[in-house]
Amino acid sequence: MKWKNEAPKELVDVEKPLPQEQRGFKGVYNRFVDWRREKKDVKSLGKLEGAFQNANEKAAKATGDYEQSDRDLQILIQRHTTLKGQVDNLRSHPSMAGAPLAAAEKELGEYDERIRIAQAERDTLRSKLETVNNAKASLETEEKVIADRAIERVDKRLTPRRENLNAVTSQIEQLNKEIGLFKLDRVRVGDKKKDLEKQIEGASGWLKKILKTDVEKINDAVRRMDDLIEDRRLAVIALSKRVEPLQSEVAQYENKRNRIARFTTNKDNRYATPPSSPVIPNVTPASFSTSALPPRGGRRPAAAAAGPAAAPRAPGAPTVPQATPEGYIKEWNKRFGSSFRIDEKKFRDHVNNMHQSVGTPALGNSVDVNLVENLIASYANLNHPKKTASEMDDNFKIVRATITP
Amino acid sequence: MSTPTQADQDLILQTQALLKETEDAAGRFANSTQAQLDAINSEISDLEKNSVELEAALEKIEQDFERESMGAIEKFKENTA
Repeated sequence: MKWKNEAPKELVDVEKPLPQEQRGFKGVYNRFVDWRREKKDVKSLGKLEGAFQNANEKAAKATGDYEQSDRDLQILIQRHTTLKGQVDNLRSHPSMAGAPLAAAEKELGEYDERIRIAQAERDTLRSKLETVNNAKASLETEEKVIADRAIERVDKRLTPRRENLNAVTSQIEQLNKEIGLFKLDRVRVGDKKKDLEKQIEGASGWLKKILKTDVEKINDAVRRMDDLIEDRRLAVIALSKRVEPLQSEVAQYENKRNRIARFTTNKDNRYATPPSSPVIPNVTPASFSTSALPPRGGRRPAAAAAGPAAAPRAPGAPTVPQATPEGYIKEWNKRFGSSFRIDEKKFRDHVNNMHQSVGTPALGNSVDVNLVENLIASYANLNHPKKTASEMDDNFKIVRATITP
Repeated sequence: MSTPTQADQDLILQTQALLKETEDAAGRFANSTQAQLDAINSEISDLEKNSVELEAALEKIEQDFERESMGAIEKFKENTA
Protein backbone atom coordinates (compact mmCIF):
# COMPACT_ATOMS: atom_id res chain seq x y z
CA MET A 1 0.00 0.00 0.00
CA LYS A 2 2.68 2.45 0.96
CA TRP A 3 5.11 1.98 -1.86
CA LYS A 4 3.11 0.25 -4.57
CA ASN A 5 1.42 3.34 -5.94
CA GLU A 6 3.01 6.42 -7.21
CA ALA A 7 3.62 9.03 -4.56
CA PRO A 8 0.48 11.13 -4.01
CA LYS A 9 0.30 14.32 -6.04
CA GLU A 10 0.19 16.34 -2.86
CA LEU A 11 3.54 14.95 -1.87
CA VAL A 12 5.07 15.48 -5.29
CA ASP A 13 3.93 19.06 -5.39
CA VAL A 14 5.90 20.30 -2.46
CA GLU A 15 4.43 23.75 -2.66
CA LYS A 16 1.13 22.23 -1.51
CA PRO A 17 1.98 20.38 1.70
CA LEU A 18 0.05 17.22 2.53
CA PRO A 19 -3.00 17.80 4.75
CA GLN A 20 -2.20 17.27 8.40
CA GLU A 21 -4.48 14.22 8.87
CA GLN A 22 -2.93 12.41 5.93
CA ARG A 23 0.50 13.17 7.24
CA GLY A 24 -0.59 11.75 10.54
CA PHE A 25 -1.87 8.55 8.99
CA LYS A 26 1.23 8.24 6.85
CA GLY A 27 3.34 8.75 9.92
CA VAL A 28 1.53 5.97 11.77
CA TYR A 29 1.79 3.70 8.73
CA ASN A 30 5.52 4.41 8.39
CA ARG A 31 6.01 3.57 12.03
CA PHE A 32 4.12 0.32 11.52
CA VAL A 33 6.30 -0.57 8.52
CA ASP A 34 9.46 0.22 10.51
CA TRP A 35 8.24 -1.89 13.43
CA ARG A 36 7.39 -4.81 11.15
CA ARG A 37 10.79 -4.61 9.45
CA GLU A 38 12.57 -4.42 12.77
CA LYS A 39 10.69 -7.44 14.09
CA LYS A 40 11.47 -9.44 10.97
CA ASP A 41 15.08 -8.36 11.14
CA VAL A 42 15.45 -9.62 14.68
CA LYS A 43 13.82 -12.96 13.88
CA SER A 44 15.53 -13.68 10.61
CA LEU A 45 19.21 -14.59 10.67
CA GLY A 46 19.04 -14.92 14.43
CA LYS A 47 18.10 -18.60 14.18
CA LEU A 48 20.89 -19.16 11.71
CA GLU A 49 23.42 -17.34 13.86
CA GLY A 50 22.34 -19.60 16.74
CA ALA A 51 22.80 -22.72 14.63
CA PHE A 52 26.33 -21.65 13.71
CA GLN A 53 27.05 -20.90 17.30
CA ASN A 54 25.99 -24.46 18.16
CA ALA A 55 28.28 -25.83 15.47
CA ASN A 56 31.15 -23.81 16.92
CA GLU A 57 30.34 -25.04 20.40
CA LYS A 58 30.28 -28.62 19.18
CA ALA A 59 33.73 -28.18 17.63
CA ALA A 60 35.02 -26.47 20.75
CA LYS A 61 33.63 -29.27 22.94
CA ALA A 62 35.24 -31.96 20.78
CA THR A 63 38.54 -30.08 21.12
CA GLY A 64 38.11 -29.74 24.86
CA ASP A 65 37.27 -33.43 25.28
CA TYR A 66 40.28 -34.46 23.25
CA GLU A 67 42.64 -32.16 25.11
CA GLN A 68 41.37 -33.36 28.48
CA SER A 69 41.87 -36.99 27.49
CA ASP A 70 45.35 -36.14 26.22
CA ARG A 71 46.19 -34.44 29.52
CA ASP A 72 44.90 -37.47 31.46
CA LEU A 73 47.07 -39.70 29.33
CA GLN A 74 50.14 -37.53 29.88
CA ILE A 75 49.61 -37.73 33.64
CA LEU A 76 49.46 -41.52 33.48
CA ILE A 77 52.60 -41.61 31.35
CA GLN A 78 54.35 -39.31 33.79
CA ARG A 79 53.44 -41.57 36.68
CA HIS A 80 54.44 -44.61 34.67
CA THR A 81 57.84 -43.05 33.94
CA THR A 82 58.40 -42.27 37.60
CA LEU A 83 57.38 -45.77 38.63
CA LYS A 84 59.54 -47.30 35.93
CA GLY A 85 62.49 -45.38 37.34
CA GLN A 86 61.77 -46.76 40.77
CA VAL A 87 61.48 -50.31 39.42
CA ASP A 88 64.76 -49.93 37.51
CA ASN A 89 66.37 -48.67 40.68
CA LEU A 90 65.10 -51.63 42.67
CA ARG A 91 66.27 -54.01 39.99
CA SER A 92 69.75 -52.48 40.08
CA HIS A 93 69.97 -53.14 43.82
CA PRO A 94 69.14 -56.84 44.21
CA SER A 95 69.53 -56.55 47.98
CA MET A 96 66.57 -54.24 48.13
CA ALA A 97 64.47 -56.23 45.68
CA GLY A 98 61.92 -58.75 46.74
CA ALA A 99 58.41 -57.81 47.87
CA PRO A 100 58.78 -54.07 47.07
CA LEU A 101 60.00 -54.87 43.57
CA ALA A 102 57.17 -57.31 42.96
CA ALA A 103 54.61 -54.75 44.15
CA ALA A 104 56.18 -52.02 42.02
CA GLU A 105 56.28 -54.27 38.96
CA LYS A 106 52.65 -55.18 39.53
CA GLU A 107 51.70 -51.52 39.74
CA LEU A 108 53.75 -50.82 36.63
CA GLY A 109 51.78 -53.50 34.81
CA GLU A 110 48.54 -51.88 35.97
CA TYR A 111 49.75 -48.54 34.60
CA ASP A 112 50.53 -50.19 31.27
CA GLU A 113 46.91 -51.35 31.13
CA ARG A 114 45.52 -47.96 32.18
CA ILE A 115 47.68 -46.21 29.59
CA ARG A 116 46.44 -48.56 26.89
CA ILE A 117 42.82 -47.80 27.85
CA ALA A 118 43.47 -44.06 28.07
CA GLN A 119 45.22 -44.12 24.71
CA ALA A 120 42.26 -45.92 23.15
CA GLU A 121 39.91 -43.33 24.66
CA ARG A 122 42.09 -40.48 23.43
CA ASP A 123 42.24 -41.99 19.94
CA THR A 124 38.46 -42.29 19.87
CA LEU A 125 38.14 -38.64 20.86
CA ARG A 126 40.79 -37.65 18.34
CA SER A 127 38.86 -39.40 15.62
CA LYS A 128 35.67 -37.66 16.81
CA LEU A 129 37.50 -34.34 16.76
CA GLU A 130 38.68 -35.05 13.24
CA THR A 131 35.13 -35.82 12.18
CA VAL A 132 33.82 -32.59 13.71
CA ASN A 133 36.69 -30.59 12.23
CA ASN A 134 36.14 -31.99 8.77
CA ALA A 135 32.39 -31.39 9.00
CA LYS A 136 32.99 -27.87 10.24
CA ALA A 137 35.51 -27.19 7.46
CA SER A 138 32.89 -28.30 4.92
CA LEU A 139 30.24 -26.21 6.65
CA GLU A 140 32.44 -23.12 6.61
CA THR A 141 33.43 -23.55 3.00
CA GLU A 142 29.86 -24.13 1.94
CA GLU A 143 28.55 -21.28 4.07
CA LYS A 144 31.11 -18.86 2.67
CA VAL A 145 29.99 -19.70 -0.85
CA ILE A 146 26.31 -19.29 0.13
CA ALA A 147 26.95 -16.01 1.94
CA ASP A 148 29.17 -14.62 -0.85
CA ARG A 149 26.44 -15.39 -3.35
CA ALA A 150 23.77 -13.74 -1.17
CA ILE A 151 25.95 -10.65 -0.63
CA GLU A 152 26.58 -10.36 -4.34
CA ARG A 153 22.86 -10.51 -5.04
CA VAL A 154 22.04 -8.00 -2.30
CA ASP A 155 24.75 -5.59 -3.50
CA LYS A 156 23.47 -5.80 -7.04
CA ARG A 157 20.14 -4.47 -5.78
CA LEU A 158 21.28 -2.22 -3.00
CA THR A 159 24.28 -0.43 -4.51
CA PRO A 160 22.39 1.38 -7.28
CA ARG A 161 19.70 2.33 -4.82
CA ARG A 162 22.22 3.75 -2.38
CA GLU A 163 23.83 5.66 -5.26
CA ASN A 164 20.49 7.06 -6.43
CA LEU A 165 19.62 8.04 -2.90
CA ASN A 166 22.98 9.75 -2.43
CA ALA A 167 22.45 11.58 -5.70
CA VAL A 168 19.03 12.80 -4.52
CA THR A 169 20.48 13.89 -1.19
CA SER A 170 23.23 15.82 -2.98
CA GLN A 171 20.64 17.49 -5.20
CA ILE A 172 18.66 18.58 -2.16
CA GLU A 173 21.85 19.93 -0.57
CA GLN A 174 22.63 21.79 -3.78
CA LEU A 175 19.14 23.28 -3.81
CA ASN A 176 19.62 24.36 -0.23
CA LYS A 177 22.87 26.10 -1.12
CA GLU A 178 21.19 27.92 -3.99
CA ILE A 179 18.46 29.10 -1.64
CA GLY A 180 21.19 30.44 0.63
CA LEU A 181 22.80 32.34 -2.23
CA PHE A 182 19.44 33.69 -3.32
CA LYS A 183 18.87 34.98 0.19
CA LEU A 184 22.08 36.99 -0.18
CA ASP A 185 20.79 38.33 -3.51
CA ARG A 186 17.60 39.34 -1.73
CA VAL A 187 19.58 41.23 0.95
CA ARG A 188 21.63 43.02 -1.69
CA VAL A 189 18.52 44.01 -3.66
CA GLY A 190 16.89 45.20 -0.43
CA ASP A 191 19.89 47.44 0.32
CA LYS A 192 19.82 48.88 -3.17
CA LYS A 193 16.09 49.48 -2.88
CA LYS A 194 16.51 51.41 0.37
CA ASP A 195 19.22 53.51 -1.18
CA LEU A 196 17.06 54.19 -4.21
CA GLU A 197 14.05 55.11 -2.07
CA LYS A 198 16.17 57.69 -0.24
CA GLN A 199 17.24 59.23 -3.51
CA ILE A 200 13.66 59.28 -4.83
CA GLU A 201 12.50 60.99 -1.66
CA GLY A 202 14.71 63.93 -2.50
CA ALA A 203 13.60 64.02 -6.15
CA SER A 204 11.16 66.51 -7.64
CA GLY A 205 7.44 65.74 -7.68
CA TRP A 206 7.16 65.02 -11.41
CA LEU A 207 10.07 62.54 -11.22
CA LYS A 208 8.49 60.76 -8.26
CA LYS A 209 5.33 60.28 -10.35
CA ILE A 210 7.33 58.86 -13.27
CA LEU A 211 9.21 56.41 -11.04
CA LYS A 212 6.17 55.37 -8.99
CA THR A 213 5.17 52.48 -11.29
CA ASP A 214 8.72 51.09 -11.48
CA VAL A 215 9.14 51.31 -7.70
CA GLU A 216 5.88 49.36 -7.24
CA LYS A 217 7.16 46.76 -9.67
CA ILE A 218 10.41 46.55 -7.72
CA ASN A 219 8.43 46.01 -4.52
CA ASP A 220 6.42 43.25 -6.23
CA ALA A 221 9.61 41.58 -7.44
CA VAL A 222 11.15 41.75 -3.97
CA ARG A 223 7.97 40.21 -2.46
CA ARG A 224 8.22 37.46 -5.08
CA MET A 225 11.80 36.86 -4.01
CA ASP A 226 10.62 36.51 -0.39
CA ASP A 227 7.82 34.14 -1.43
CA LEU A 228 10.20 32.05 -3.46
CA ILE A 229 12.64 31.77 -0.57
CA GLU A 230 9.86 30.55 1.73
CA ASP A 231 8.41 28.18 -0.88
CA ARG A 232 11.74 26.58 -1.66
CA ARG A 233 12.59 26.33 2.03
CA LEU A 234 9.35 24.38 2.61
CA ALA A 235 10.03 22.31 -0.48
CA VAL A 236 13.45 21.28 0.84
CA ILE A 237 11.89 20.29 4.17
CA ALA A 238 9.22 18.23 2.41
CA LEU A 239 11.77 16.51 0.18
CA SER A 240 14.03 15.74 3.10
CA LYS A 241 11.10 14.16 4.94
CA ARG A 242 10.32 11.98 1.95
CA VAL A 243 13.94 10.89 1.71
CA GLU A 244 14.21 9.96 5.40
CA PRO A 245 12.23 6.68 5.24
CA LEU A 246 14.10 5.72 2.08
CA GLN A 247 17.41 6.24 3.86
CA SER A 248 16.24 4.35 6.88
CA GLU A 249 15.07 1.53 4.61
CA VAL A 250 18.47 1.30 2.89
CA ALA A 251 20.23 1.45 6.27
CA GLN A 252 18.15 -1.52 7.46
CA TYR A 253 18.97 -3.51 4.35
CA GLU A 254 22.64 -2.63 4.69
CA ASN A 255 22.57 -3.76 8.28
CA LYS A 256 21.11 -7.08 7.18
CA ARG A 257 23.65 -7.33 4.38
CA ASN A 258 26.44 -6.85 6.90
CA ARG A 259 24.99 -9.53 9.12
CA ILE A 260 25.06 -11.92 6.18
CA ALA A 261 28.62 -10.78 5.44
CA ARG A 262 29.68 -12.03 8.86
CA PHE A 263 28.95 -15.56 7.65
CA THR A 264 31.74 -15.20 5.11
CA THR A 265 34.27 -15.08 7.92
CA ASN A 266 32.97 -17.60 10.42
CA LYS A 267 34.96 -17.74 13.58
CA ASP A 268 36.98 -20.87 13.52
CA ASN A 269 36.99 -22.62 16.86
CA ARG A 270 38.73 -25.71 15.62
CA TYR A 271 42.09 -26.77 16.87
CA ALA A 272 44.42 -28.70 14.65
CA THR A 273 43.75 -32.38 14.91
CA PRO A 274 47.02 -33.95 16.09
CA PRO A 275 48.39 -36.85 14.09
CA SER A 276 47.86 -40.28 15.54
CA SER A 277 50.93 -41.29 17.51
CA PRO A 278 51.51 -44.62 19.15
CA VAL A 279 51.93 -44.44 22.88
CA ILE A 280 54.74 -46.53 24.24
CA PRO A 281 55.00 -46.51 27.99
CA ASN A 282 58.25 -45.20 29.39
CA VAL A 283 58.70 -42.82 26.48
CA THR A 284 59.18 -39.29 27.76
CA PRO A 285 55.81 -37.57 28.21
CA ALA A 286 56.88 -34.53 26.20
CA SER A 287 56.70 -36.62 23.06
CA PHE A 288 52.95 -36.80 23.49
CA SER A 289 52.25 -33.25 24.35
CA THR A 290 50.01 -31.55 21.81
CA SER A 291 52.12 -28.44 22.18
CA ALA A 292 55.10 -30.33 20.79
CA LEU A 293 53.29 -31.17 17.59
CA PRO A 294 54.48 -29.81 14.29
CA PRO A 295 52.61 -26.72 13.15
CA ARG A 296 49.29 -27.20 11.47
CA GLY A 297 48.65 -25.07 8.50
CA GLY A 298 45.97 -22.42 8.44
CA ARG A 299 43.82 -23.64 11.30
CA ARG A 300 45.91 -23.27 14.37
CA PRO A 301 44.51 -20.90 16.95
CA ALA A 302 46.39 -17.62 16.91
CA ALA A 303 47.70 -17.93 20.46
CA ALA A 304 49.18 -21.33 19.67
CA ALA A 305 51.57 -19.67 17.27
CA ALA A 306 53.70 -18.91 20.29
CA GLY A 307 53.78 -22.65 21.09
CA PRO A 308 56.77 -24.86 20.64
CA ALA A 309 59.11 -22.39 19.05
CA ALA A 310 58.59 -19.91 21.83
CA ALA A 311 59.32 -22.33 24.63
CA PRO A 312 62.89 -22.84 25.81
CA ARG A 313 64.28 -26.03 24.39
CA ALA A 314 65.54 -28.71 26.71
CA PRO A 315 69.28 -29.39 26.52
CA GLY A 316 69.98 -32.22 24.17
CA ALA A 317 66.66 -31.86 22.35
CA PRO A 318 66.83 -32.13 18.59
CA THR A 319 67.70 -28.83 16.96
CA VAL A 320 64.84 -27.14 15.16
CA PRO A 321 65.92 -25.86 11.76
CA GLN A 322 66.41 -22.14 11.52
CA ALA A 323 65.20 -19.87 8.75
CA THR A 324 65.02 -16.20 8.00
CA PRO A 325 61.39 -15.07 7.68
CA GLU A 326 62.27 -13.20 4.47
CA GLY A 327 63.92 -16.27 2.98
CA TYR A 328 60.98 -18.47 3.92
CA ILE A 329 58.44 -16.04 2.46
CA LYS A 330 60.51 -15.58 -0.69
CA GLU A 331 60.61 -19.34 -1.22
CA TRP A 332 56.89 -19.63 -0.42
CA ASN A 333 55.94 -16.91 -2.88
CA LYS A 334 58.17 -18.45 -5.54
CA ARG A 335 56.29 -21.70 -5.25
CA PHE A 336 52.76 -20.78 -4.17
CA GLY A 337 52.55 -17.05 -4.86
CA SER A 338 49.88 -17.40 -7.51
CA SER A 339 47.33 -18.97 -5.16
CA PHE A 340 48.45 -17.45 -1.85
CA ARG A 341 50.98 -14.65 -1.96
CA ILE A 342 52.39 -13.55 1.39
CA ASP A 343 52.90 -9.81 1.46
CA GLU A 344 56.07 -9.32 3.46
CA LYS A 345 55.02 -5.99 4.95
CA LYS A 346 51.53 -7.24 5.84
CA PHE A 347 53.07 -10.34 7.35
CA ARG A 348 55.47 -8.24 9.47
CA ASP A 349 52.51 -6.12 10.63
CA HIS A 350 50.62 -9.30 11.49
CA VAL A 351 53.59 -10.61 13.47
CA ASN A 352 53.81 -7.32 15.37
CA ASN A 353 50.08 -7.40 16.11
CA MET A 354 50.35 -10.96 17.36
CA HIS A 355 53.35 -10.00 19.43
CA GLN A 356 51.41 -7.19 21.07
CA SER A 357 48.06 -8.95 21.44
CA VAL A 358 48.95 -12.55 22.36
CA GLY A 359 52.64 -12.27 23.15
CA THR A 360 54.10 -14.36 20.35
CA PRO A 361 57.82 -13.74 19.92
CA ALA A 362 58.97 -10.88 17.75
CA LEU A 363 60.70 -12.10 14.61
CA GLY A 364 64.46 -11.78 14.48
CA ASN A 365 66.74 -12.43 11.57
CA SER A 366 66.94 -16.15 11.95
CA VAL A 367 64.33 -18.08 13.90
CA ASP A 368 62.86 -21.55 14.29
CA VAL A 369 61.09 -22.69 11.18
CA ASN A 370 58.22 -23.79 13.44
CA LEU A 371 57.65 -20.22 14.57
CA VAL A 372 57.67 -18.86 11.03
CA GLU A 373 55.24 -21.55 9.92
CA ASN A 374 52.93 -21.03 12.87
CA LEU A 375 52.83 -17.33 12.18
CA ILE A 376 52.18 -17.92 8.49
CA ALA A 377 49.37 -20.28 9.49
CA SER A 378 47.73 -17.61 11.64
CA TYR A 379 48.33 -15.05 8.87
CA ALA A 380 46.58 -17.44 6.46
CA ASN A 381 43.67 -17.76 8.88
CA LEU A 382 43.05 -14.04 8.49
CA ASN A 383 43.97 -13.47 4.88
CA HIS A 384 43.29 -16.75 3.10
CA PRO A 385 40.59 -18.54 5.10
CA LYS A 386 39.93 -20.88 2.19
CA LYS A 387 43.32 -22.53 2.64
CA THR A 388 42.88 -25.82 4.42
CA ALA A 389 45.17 -27.13 7.11
CA SER A 390 46.39 -30.04 5.02
CA GLU A 391 47.07 -27.78 2.06
CA MET A 392 49.12 -25.46 4.26
CA ASP A 393 50.96 -28.42 5.81
CA ASP A 394 51.88 -29.78 2.39
CA ASN A 395 53.17 -26.38 1.35
CA PHE A 396 55.14 -26.01 4.58
CA LYS A 397 56.82 -29.37 4.00
CA ILE A 398 57.91 -28.37 0.51
CA VAL A 399 59.26 -24.98 1.56
CA ARG A 400 60.95 -26.38 4.65
CA ALA A 401 62.67 -29.09 2.62
CA THR A 402 63.98 -26.46 0.23
CA ILE A 403 65.34 -23.93 2.67
CA THR A 404 66.69 -26.14 5.45
CA PRO A 405 69.63 -28.47 5.07
CA MET B 1 7.64 70.32 -15.63
CA SER B 2 11.29 71.35 -15.73
CA THR B 3 13.90 69.80 -18.01
CA PRO B 4 15.34 66.63 -16.44
CA THR B 5 18.82 67.07 -15.11
CA GLN B 6 21.60 64.53 -15.52
CA ALA B 7 20.93 63.45 -11.93
CA ASP B 8 17.23 62.89 -12.73
CA GLN B 9 18.13 60.80 -15.74
CA ASP B 10 20.61 58.78 -13.69
CA LEU B 11 17.94 58.10 -11.07
CA ILE B 12 15.50 56.87 -13.73
CA LEU B 13 18.14 54.56 -15.19
CA GLN B 14 19.11 53.34 -11.71
CA THR B 15 15.48 52.53 -10.90
CA GLN B 16 15.00 50.64 -14.16
CA ALA B 17 18.24 48.76 -13.60
CA LEU B 18 17.22 47.67 -10.11
CA LEU B 19 13.79 46.61 -11.39
CA LYS B 20 15.42 44.51 -14.08
CA GLU B 21 17.96 43.05 -11.67
CA THR B 22 15.25 42.09 -9.15
CA GLU B 23 12.88 40.60 -11.71
CA ASP B 24 15.68 38.73 -13.47
CA ALA B 25 17.01 37.30 -10.20
CA ALA B 26 13.54 36.13 -9.11
CA GLY B 27 12.77 34.67 -12.53
CA ARG B 28 16.09 32.89 -12.84
CA PHE B 29 15.85 31.44 -9.36
CA ALA B 30 12.21 30.39 -9.80
CA ASN B 31 12.94 28.58 -13.06
CA SER B 32 16.16 26.88 -12.05
CA THR B 33 14.91 25.72 -8.68
CA GLN B 34 11.60 24.53 -10.13
CA ALA B 35 13.52 22.39 -12.60
CA GLN B 36 15.57 20.98 -9.73
CA LEU B 37 12.48 20.32 -7.65
CA ASP B 38 10.84 18.50 -10.54
CA ALA B 39 13.92 16.36 -11.07
CA ILE B 40 14.27 15.52 -7.37
CA ASN B 41 10.56 14.76 -7.03
CA SER B 42 10.71 12.48 -9.99
CA GLU B 43 13.73 10.61 -8.64
CA ILE B 44 12.19 10.24 -5.18
CA SER B 45 8.97 8.97 -6.74
CA ASP B 46 10.97 6.37 -8.66
CA LEU B 47 12.72 5.29 -5.49
CA GLU B 48 9.41 5.07 -3.64
CA LYS B 49 7.86 3.07 -6.46
CA ASN B 50 10.79 0.63 -6.52
CA SER B 51 10.66 0.17 -2.79
CA VAL B 52 8.15 -2.67 -2.84
CA GLU B 53 10.03 -4.46 -5.56
CA LEU B 54 13.31 -4.03 -3.68
CA GLU B 55 11.84 -5.28 -0.44
CA ALA B 56 10.44 -8.36 -2.16
CA ALA B 57 13.74 -9.04 -3.94
CA LEU B 58 15.83 -8.68 -0.80
CA GLU B 59 13.40 -10.81 1.18
CA LYS B 60 13.72 -13.54 -1.43
CA ILE B 61 17.53 -13.31 -1.31
CA GLU B 62 17.44 -13.54 2.47
CA GLN B 63 15.07 -16.52 2.41
CA ASP B 64 17.29 -18.31 -0.11
CA PHE B 65 20.32 -17.57 2.04
CA GLU B 66 18.61 -18.88 5.16
CA ARG B 67 17.31 -21.99 3.43
CA GLU B 68 20.69 -22.83 1.90
CA SER B 69 22.52 -22.12 5.14
CA MET B 70 20.13 -24.24 7.17
CA GLY B 71 20.77 -27.02 4.63
CA ALA B 72 24.50 -26.70 5.31
CA ILE B 73 23.86 -26.76 9.07
CA GLU B 74 21.66 -29.85 8.76
CA LYS B 75 24.42 -31.55 6.81
CA PHE B 76 26.88 -30.63 9.57
CA LYS B 77 24.52 -32.09 12.17
CA GLU B 78 24.19 -35.32 10.18
CA ASN B 79 27.95 -35.55 9.69
CA THR B 80 28.62 -35.11 13.38
CA ALA B 81 25.66 -37.02 14.79
